[in-house]
Amino acid sequence: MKRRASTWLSLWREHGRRPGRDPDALDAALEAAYQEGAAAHPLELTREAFGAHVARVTKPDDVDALAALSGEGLYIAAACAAQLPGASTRFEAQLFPQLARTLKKMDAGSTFVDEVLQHLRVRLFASPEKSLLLTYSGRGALGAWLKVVAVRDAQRIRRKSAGTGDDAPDDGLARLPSPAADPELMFLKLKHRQDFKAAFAEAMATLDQRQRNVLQMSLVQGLSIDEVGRVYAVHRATAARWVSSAREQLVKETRQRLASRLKLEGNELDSLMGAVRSNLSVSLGALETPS
Amino acid sequence: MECPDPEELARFADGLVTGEAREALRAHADGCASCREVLVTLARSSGPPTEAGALAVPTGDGERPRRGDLIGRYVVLDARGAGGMGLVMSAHDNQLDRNVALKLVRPDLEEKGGAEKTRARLLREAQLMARVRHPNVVTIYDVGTLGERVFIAMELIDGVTLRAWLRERRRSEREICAVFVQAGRGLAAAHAAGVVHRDFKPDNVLIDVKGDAHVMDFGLAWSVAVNDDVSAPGTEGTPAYMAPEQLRGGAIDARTDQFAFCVALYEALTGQRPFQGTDRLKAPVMPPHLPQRLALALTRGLSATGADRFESMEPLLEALQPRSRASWWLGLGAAAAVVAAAGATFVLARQENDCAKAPRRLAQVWDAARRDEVRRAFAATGVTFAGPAFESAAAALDRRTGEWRAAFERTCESGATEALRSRQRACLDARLGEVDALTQLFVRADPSVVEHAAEAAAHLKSPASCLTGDALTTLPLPDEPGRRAAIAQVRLELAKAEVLQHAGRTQAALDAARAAITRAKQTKYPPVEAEAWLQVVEPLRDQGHADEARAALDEATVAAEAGRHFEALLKIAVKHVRVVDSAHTDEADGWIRRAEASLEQTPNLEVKAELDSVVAVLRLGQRRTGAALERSAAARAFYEAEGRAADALGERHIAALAQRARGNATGAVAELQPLLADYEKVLGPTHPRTQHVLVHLAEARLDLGDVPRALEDLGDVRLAEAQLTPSWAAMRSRLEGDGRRMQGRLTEAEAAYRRALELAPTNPQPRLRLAAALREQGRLADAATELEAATTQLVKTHGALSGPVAVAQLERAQLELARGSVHEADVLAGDAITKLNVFIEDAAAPEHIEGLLTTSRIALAASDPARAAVDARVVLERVPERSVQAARAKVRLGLPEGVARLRELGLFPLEQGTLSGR
Repeated sequence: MKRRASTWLSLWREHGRRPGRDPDALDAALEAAYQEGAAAHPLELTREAFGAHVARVTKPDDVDALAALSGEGLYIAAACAAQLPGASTRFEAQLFPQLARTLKKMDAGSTFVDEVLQHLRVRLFASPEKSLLLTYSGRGALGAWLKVVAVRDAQRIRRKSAGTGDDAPDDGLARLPSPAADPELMFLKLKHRQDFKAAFAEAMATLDQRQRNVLQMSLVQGLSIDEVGRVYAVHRATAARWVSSAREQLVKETRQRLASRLKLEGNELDSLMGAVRSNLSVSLGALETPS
Repeated sequence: MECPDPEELARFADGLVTGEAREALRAHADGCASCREVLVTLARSSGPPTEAGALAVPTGDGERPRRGDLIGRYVVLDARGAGGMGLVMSAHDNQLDRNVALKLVRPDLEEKGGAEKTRARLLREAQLMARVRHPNVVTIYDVGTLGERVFIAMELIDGVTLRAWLRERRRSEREICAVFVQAGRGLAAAHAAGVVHRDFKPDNVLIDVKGDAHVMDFGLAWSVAVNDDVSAPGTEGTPAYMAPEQLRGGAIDARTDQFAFCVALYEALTGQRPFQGTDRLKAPVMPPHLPQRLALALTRGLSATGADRFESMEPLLEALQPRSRASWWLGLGAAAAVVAAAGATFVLARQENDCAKAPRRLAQVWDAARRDEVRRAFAATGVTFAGPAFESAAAALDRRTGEWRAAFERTCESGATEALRSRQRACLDARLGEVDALTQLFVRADPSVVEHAAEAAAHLKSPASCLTGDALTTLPLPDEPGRRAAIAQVRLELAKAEVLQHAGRTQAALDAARAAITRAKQTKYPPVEAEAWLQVVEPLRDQGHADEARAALDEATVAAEAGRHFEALLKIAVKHVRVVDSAHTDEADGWIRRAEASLEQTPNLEVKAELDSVVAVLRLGQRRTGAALERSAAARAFYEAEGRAADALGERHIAALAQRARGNATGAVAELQPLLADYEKVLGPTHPRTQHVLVHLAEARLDLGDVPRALEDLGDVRLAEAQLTPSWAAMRSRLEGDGRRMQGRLTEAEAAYRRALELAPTNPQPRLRLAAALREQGRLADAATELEAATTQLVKTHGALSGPVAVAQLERAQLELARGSVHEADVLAGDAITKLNVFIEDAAAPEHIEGLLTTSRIALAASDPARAAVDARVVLERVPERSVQAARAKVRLGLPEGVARLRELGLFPLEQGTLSGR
């Protein structure tokens, strides 16, 4: 049952790769990846097919990098690329439900999600020689890679359907629900709309790019602190500090600028600022939406 | 920078990218909207499902959990692994914020008794194993069921199996023996806890990156279907390691594991199995290259009958080590292997009072080996600050043990009488017992122990004091060695309870102390019984059982009097002050006098410091801040001289609070800020006491009108709120409400107060503030209801004639004013001011200032501007010029700079007046 160790090495050479300084370690790494994949998936993929696929998709990295590869991900990717019976079905069953959940987070309807998944299906399975799977080199989890690919596809499809003249930077904010309803009216009533907008815009300009980003995520897009932390791969406490300091600065700057513009008095300024604070999130949206 | 390829971005999102590359990707994400959208989408979809505790995964058999799935409270991180007994995956424990290995096993349905019974047995076994904490055993954290299957959460070890380790390259005999000895120690620890492994083999031992061995999968083999989901690659079939009795299905015990251990060791050393198939009759051949001591040990361990093998793992392991190290190991083994026999080494050590023994006795409680064990145990908890916590605890232990050695040596030199020397030694024994208890606790550290390690170590008492005061009060012991040993054992348990208490593990401390009471009664030695009763007092108080604590003090008094234990009587008096009912603080004064009289007779600096400390807290509560400051300064001097860092910080904390109570919020902030930094250093940032300082800092900032920073501090506390008791969490919310009210954001204030009330329904303070917030919203009927309830609670806690009730009366005056009954309001406020003058001595105390601002406002409403001006001017005299209170007083006086200043502070003009005192 067990194959001679040199199988992997000869496969490697057949596909134009060099075994490197430590052929034994290479052999062990490939065998381990194969075993891991075989244990994870009930698919009869041959060593030859697996080895050929891995030799093709991985970069000539050192053995340590090879040892860290996701055998589970590469195995099913190879099986799909080899059009093994049952492989793509299993791939979809394992990964697509989660993918659909992810895509739904993109402020998109279910037809949009279906469209993206269908597009993805074609790019993954339709032609083995041009399959997207050949760009997955196993350096991380297959699922995570697939999510990134899917979101990128979704962005592309969205751009296309929005028409070609879409050269303004798409901040994701354009798709937010319009804040046209009450807050705008409220500020109009206060008769300070232009002044406020200007003060707010000036205040926003004092923030750096990251401060603006985290405020948008937290206040406009409604991400939790944990989620903001995940976006930047930082601890939640750091993310919390970023968000709160950005918010404080924005309020402070807006207050100062507005007060000097309007020469507001006591209560007036306070009640206006109270309104500003509670509507900060909507104001952000209002400011960033092209009107 | 170009957009990263999907794989790189996915790795970044999974936290796999580090260093400069990670920074570069963060910077890219800042500037690239489309990458940011990808990351935001991933972040939103990769968190745990919102329904807490839901089992989001597969209850059916054979379905594999996936990344992000929730199993119990664990989020699956990587489900790629597979083991002989089912699925192994890495997961994150959201509750304790650490990574764990999660094993999902399916009980063998063929096993007789049915699946239900099998599962129950498997759970029981895993729970039993969960009690074994040893560096060479993979710690089990948690077990639970998931449909048909059982999941086991255990320590995540970064390493390879022993089998893979052996295959990696050729290993020397010495290397092999070293890891087997470690694995054997793990087995021995489990045996001591009554657990037999049943399936010891190289696949069940993990070698971590440092080369240390960890045995796993204890007691699981029998109940598990071998072909669950997937079979492990490279598993050679377990029967090869089985002892004859196990193959026969006969009775098995620890010696069965010994046999398997020897099969594995033989295989590792020779490259062959000692037996063919299941034939165990032919004695194995020992190759000539094997050293004789190993050959002999293996032959004995591989005997066909258990009786012919070593009686336990220990002598076998001793035989596996080179001669010179064997005795060293015995010492360590005795200290470390047997958790159950805690303290045995110390009791034995007591018998020997030879001066030359000092280093050895120290080594038994704190030497390089134990230090290393503790380091590993800390690291293994996965707590993020385990490193610094270890360093700080180890430094304290180094210091105390150094002092202990010096003190012990001095007892050898001094020309003291034998009687004094034996008392000094008894005291030193007790100190060493405390160190022993602490390090034993550390060896079995869990995250909460790591969190409190520095504090517990900082509480260790100075051994030097044994040479003077304390030694003199040590009572003579009975002559019978048996009783002496029993008494020593109880004192060791009490020391352990004390350590647990300082480590913040109140319930464990209480359990330990209660168990010690039972044992103490059996000794028929009243002094130790009194000590045991004393030990339950603090935990009971911390849990809010003041009545039970007082009852325990009565029991302690009876025992202390019977045993003529004067030191205990003194401590009882001190504890009485600590647990006195806040409505009857006058009783405390009697106890203070008693304690002080007794201290004059027999000076005892340590008890004196404790007395000063508890009196300082009492006086602070009584608003006698001068006395509080004096007492806490005295206690602080002692604690600093003794190097008891945590206790010294506590006194600084009390002093800062006294400053605030005097109306010196600026001074309080100036003291609390550096104190916060010191607490973070000594106890760590998430320690409850560090959080308490932060809460008080926010409170003082509110006094100063610095609402934004106060709210920021309170926001930080909120992040660590899980560490706080409900009453502290309630205070946090209450202060948040105060800040919101000062900003004029009344609905938010109301919400914060209501949250505080949910957390601590019987706490009158949030209710009083809620009444004020409702009044300010014009909801007068609701305000009246809440105010009445708050007043009733305040009367119950503090007595009808007290500062807090007078403050409530001020609120009542405000309410009457809002209703338009100006005269009623005037009378009530005047009466409240009179009462406050009686109860609160500091003229600038926040309560007085608040009172004067109220009366001034009422006087304005009563069309008496002259009187209003007088009160406002008094306020101006007593508070700092730039303070928020001064600004409010100026508003009353009609001075425009008052309004300007309030506006500058970003505060709501507060025309309705507020309550910002206690």
